[in-house]
Amino acid sequence: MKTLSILRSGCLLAGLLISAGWAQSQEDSVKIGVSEPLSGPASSLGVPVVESIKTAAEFINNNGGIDGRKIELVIRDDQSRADVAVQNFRRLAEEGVYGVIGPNQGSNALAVAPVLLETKVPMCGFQNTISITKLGNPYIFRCQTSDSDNTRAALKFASEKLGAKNVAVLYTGDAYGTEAFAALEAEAKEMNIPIVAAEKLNYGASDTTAEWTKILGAQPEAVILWGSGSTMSVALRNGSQLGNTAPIIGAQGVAAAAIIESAGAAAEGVYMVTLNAPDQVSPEQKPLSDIYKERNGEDYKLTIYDIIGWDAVHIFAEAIKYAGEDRSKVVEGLEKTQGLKLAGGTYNYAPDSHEGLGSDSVWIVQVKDGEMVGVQKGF
Amino acid sequence: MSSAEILQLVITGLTVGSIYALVGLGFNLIFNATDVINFAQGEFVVLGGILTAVAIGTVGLPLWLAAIVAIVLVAALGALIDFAAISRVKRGSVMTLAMITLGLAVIVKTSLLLWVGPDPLYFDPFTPGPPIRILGAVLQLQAIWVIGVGVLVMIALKFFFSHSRMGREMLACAIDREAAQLMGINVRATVRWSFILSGALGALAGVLITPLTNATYDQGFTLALKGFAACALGGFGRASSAILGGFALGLIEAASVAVLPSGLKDSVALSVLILALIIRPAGLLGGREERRHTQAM
Repeated sequence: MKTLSILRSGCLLAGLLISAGWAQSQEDSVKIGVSEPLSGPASSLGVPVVESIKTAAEFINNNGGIDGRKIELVIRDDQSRADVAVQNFRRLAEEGVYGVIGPNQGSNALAVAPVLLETKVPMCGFQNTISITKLGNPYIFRCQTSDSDNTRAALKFASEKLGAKNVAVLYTGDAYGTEAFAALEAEAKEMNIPIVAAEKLNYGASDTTAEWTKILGAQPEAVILWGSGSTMSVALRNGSQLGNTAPIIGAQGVAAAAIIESAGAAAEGVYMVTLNAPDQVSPEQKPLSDIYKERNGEDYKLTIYDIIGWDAVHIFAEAIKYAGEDRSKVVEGLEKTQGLKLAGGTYNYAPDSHEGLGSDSVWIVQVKDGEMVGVQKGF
Repeated sequence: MSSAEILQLVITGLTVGSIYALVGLGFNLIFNATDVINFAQGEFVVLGGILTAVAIGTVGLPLWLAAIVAIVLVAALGALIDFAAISRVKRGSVMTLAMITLGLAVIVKTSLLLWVGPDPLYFDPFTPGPPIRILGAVLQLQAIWVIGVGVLVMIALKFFFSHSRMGREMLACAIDREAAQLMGINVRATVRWSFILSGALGALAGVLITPLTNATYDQGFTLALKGFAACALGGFGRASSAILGGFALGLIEAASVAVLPSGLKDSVALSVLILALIIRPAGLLGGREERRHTQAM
């Protein structure tokens, strides 16, 4: 009887110790929220991004964590919908995350902006859309290049490298295309490059020959194509069918494997403004590239999605290192980020600039044999 | 604007118009037999394109076989829709049936998203080679296929409705369903066949246009809207009016790009539709109501 009771109290003690240990490890972890589209139309962007976020968290945890604390990801699917993204951001804040990575779509970023003001949890967004950092919202940080840098790079490349004395612009009528066009117009004026024709395409349009006819009528020396989705591959095909010989410079939204593949021969030789040259691996990309090569085979080439997810976790890790256990200091930590070299380039934030990457991180790539090949980095 | 550019816009208008016309033809078939606007018509088209692309790209079938497989499968889906949903509704109004087709359209769309994902699918044009140049304008070879097959289908449908037994039965149902039933026509079977035919026609349209437009899971709604507008512009109920309406709509769109900012293309086309319907409510060729009292077709 006595032995039994000793045994019992022993068990109890052990149990207590275990649970104490558990509580200890709970405190030792840092929660980072993720709200990305894992289903719905934007899932082809969200799924690879989340995989690279997980890879980065694992990598940091295996290398000592954030000052010994392990990263614990809380991942939620926003179903590519703005209302679900808003819900996710609220719930993640209630669960005590230090920051949220996501959302992916520009419209969803605008939808969650007011929530951030209430919850005071910073977000790391993957949008190129210029306006997201111009809302006066102190909690929105861009973890991508801004289209104001991308459009400038496109124009500089057209005039300096391609020797174009004028350009024409073909852009989609959504926020992505129209904001970029406004930036292009302003920039072109400053650089003294006339825009001889500009045509707006409806998002999702399945024919662009009428627009191309007008563009080609103006005989531009370079054509800038800004948009995303299926329409971009139609536009590339239509351009070459109508006999366009002017070089084309596409947006980051054009630099997607699915678009290049479905445009086929029409994509050959097209330049694109993007964040990485898949044929080159920088020293900062090496650890990520090695992990992905081990996972997917030696021929694996990093995509932009692999890079931005990886970088976002590292940016937060640095800021949390600064903030310690004080969640309210994460924003300050992010704003102190200077010269942080990661896979996508060098990140700089300041209280008056939440842009992250600058024009020095912009890559121009060219499609050769269906693959994107690096041409120039930094503008 | 030079004459070559104007000719180019006309060619663009005719190419795009033939796509609208093909979609419109499918609308007409079901409308004739049931009075129902089949909102899943756009999905038939997308499904035709996607199935062919998958059959060529993943399974490795030759184009002609892939196209036949896609057309047969979508026709079977048409039959299934009628069998599983439309024919089960005992006393539904036309509106109930239209809502059912709308629900089916959503089901097809989301299933396609789950199956092939959001990226565009594509296969090469039927005849490879550079586009034809006419007086400085460019005509894509695939556009000739679309226009050519569109015209052939129209002729075939005309012949089908005037000379075949089934076609005449369909027309009889269109004119007066009860009378047709009293004359011994199997109305249920006629409706079933109209769904099968319109599925096949939609899939054929999808096969023809995918080399021009790509096939994406969410294209159906826009295609259906334009096909519907083509029918409304031409006048519901006649094959020839869907063709005329389609070409008219395509040309209006192309013309609007020539004179207005191109972002307004869709709004201009649909504004013209509204205007045309206010002036001629039965459509350009006169629609169903007029036809009932005159000679059908």
